[in-house]
Formats: sequence, structure tokens, C-alpha cells
Amino acid sequence: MIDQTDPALAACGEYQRLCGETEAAIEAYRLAVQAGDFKHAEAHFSEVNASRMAALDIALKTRPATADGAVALLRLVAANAEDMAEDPDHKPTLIAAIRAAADAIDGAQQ
Amino acid sequence: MTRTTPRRAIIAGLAATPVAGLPAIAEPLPGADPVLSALAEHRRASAKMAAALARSEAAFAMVDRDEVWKVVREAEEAEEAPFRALLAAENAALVAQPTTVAGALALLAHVADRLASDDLTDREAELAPEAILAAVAVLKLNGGAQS
Repeated sequence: MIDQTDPALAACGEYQRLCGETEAAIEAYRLAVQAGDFKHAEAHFSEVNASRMAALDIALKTRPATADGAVALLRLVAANAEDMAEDPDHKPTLIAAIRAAADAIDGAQQ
Repeated sequence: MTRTTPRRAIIAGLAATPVAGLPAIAEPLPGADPVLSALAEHRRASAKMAAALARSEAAFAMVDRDEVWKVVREAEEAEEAPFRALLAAENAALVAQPTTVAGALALLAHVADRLASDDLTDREAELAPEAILAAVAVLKLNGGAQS
């Protein structure tokens, strides 16, 4: 269950939910290709995937309020670090997310 | 893709590192978190690399045109050992396993600094996710994270 008291937990949870939807959309697309009619499935996948990417951006820019939120954010960062480190547009977001998570944990320790 | 750290570029990254006499770097206590020890070694290797580069730059400034290639060759040779030591220290810092919250936070700060650096290597980019997860493991143990 997602703890709504920390916006980072909620944002990371929403991203994970959309990852599941994206996987389902990929499977539906695969089946639609086999059936020979994939236009609708392709459009659905594009829509869901765009939502997933938007959710990732939001989650990485959400400052965690708790240690749990920071840990969830760091897991998200770790899962995307290698790809995003190569992307000059996304790298600053990645770095800021790491620092925000560390700050939140440091604050929780005080 | 293989990317190596351009030696000249390191100078800019190490601009804040004092060079002359390699001043004392805060040493973690014996038995301290391995991350803190690895980061201390990384700072030491960075300072030695900066010193080698500074010596090369000084030599280049004084050289005659006829001797330039000789000086360049000597500089490359002199930089080789500290350069390899720096690469080894960079990798060691990212594979060190933190045992304390302080070590985990220091590791996260180091990962962020390296990702922000212009001389980030491919190997460091590969190691960054594991380093973050190593920090997370310690934070979960010590912070009571539920997720």
C-alpha cells in the first residue's frame, strides 16, 4: 500500500503502476501484431508509455519527506541511472534526485 | 563505447584540490566504514593526479620548441601511474560497501558528484546503480524504511 503522506512514495508508486500498465500494453501489442491488427494496440502503448515517462520525470523531481520516500526515490534512480547518465537532458534531474534523497535521509537522522 | 578520462580535463575537475605539498586529507579512523576509507583514497589519488598535471603544465610552459615532444613524452610517462591509481580509486570508491548511514550518505554524495563531473567514465556510469543500491541497503537497515 502506498503511503500518501510522502509525495515521493506516491510519485514512485504511480510510476511503478504505469510500468505495469506499459508491460501489459507491450503484451497486448505483441498479440495484436500476431493477429494482424495492431494500430489500436500501438496507439495505446504509445499513450501509456508517454504517461510512464512523464511519471518518471515527476517522481525524480519530487522531494521525499521521509526516509522511506528517499529509499523509494533512490531505487528509482538506481533503475534509471545508467541510461539517464548518458542523457544530458535528464542527467541534472538524476543528480538532483540523489541529492534530495540524501538530504531527506540526513534530515531524518537529525 | 569505451571512454577514458581525458587527463587535461581532470585539471578543471580538481581545481578545488590543493596541490602543493599534497596537504593532509582527513583520514577515517582504522576500522571505519569502507566507503569513507575508499573516498579518502580517491581524494588522495585525485590530489596526486592534479600534482602530476601541474608539473606537466609547468614543464610545457618552459620548454623549447625543439624539445616539446620529449617533454610531452616525459609528462605522459610521469602521469601514467597517478592516472591509473586515480581510475582504480574511482572504481574502488563505487564498489565499496557502506556499513554505516554516514558511509551510505557519503557514497550517495560521491555518486552525485561523479555523475555531475565532466570526466565521468563509462565504468563509473555502470557502477553508479549498484553503489546507490548498496547505500539503500544500509539505509533500510538503519532507517526502518518499509518499502
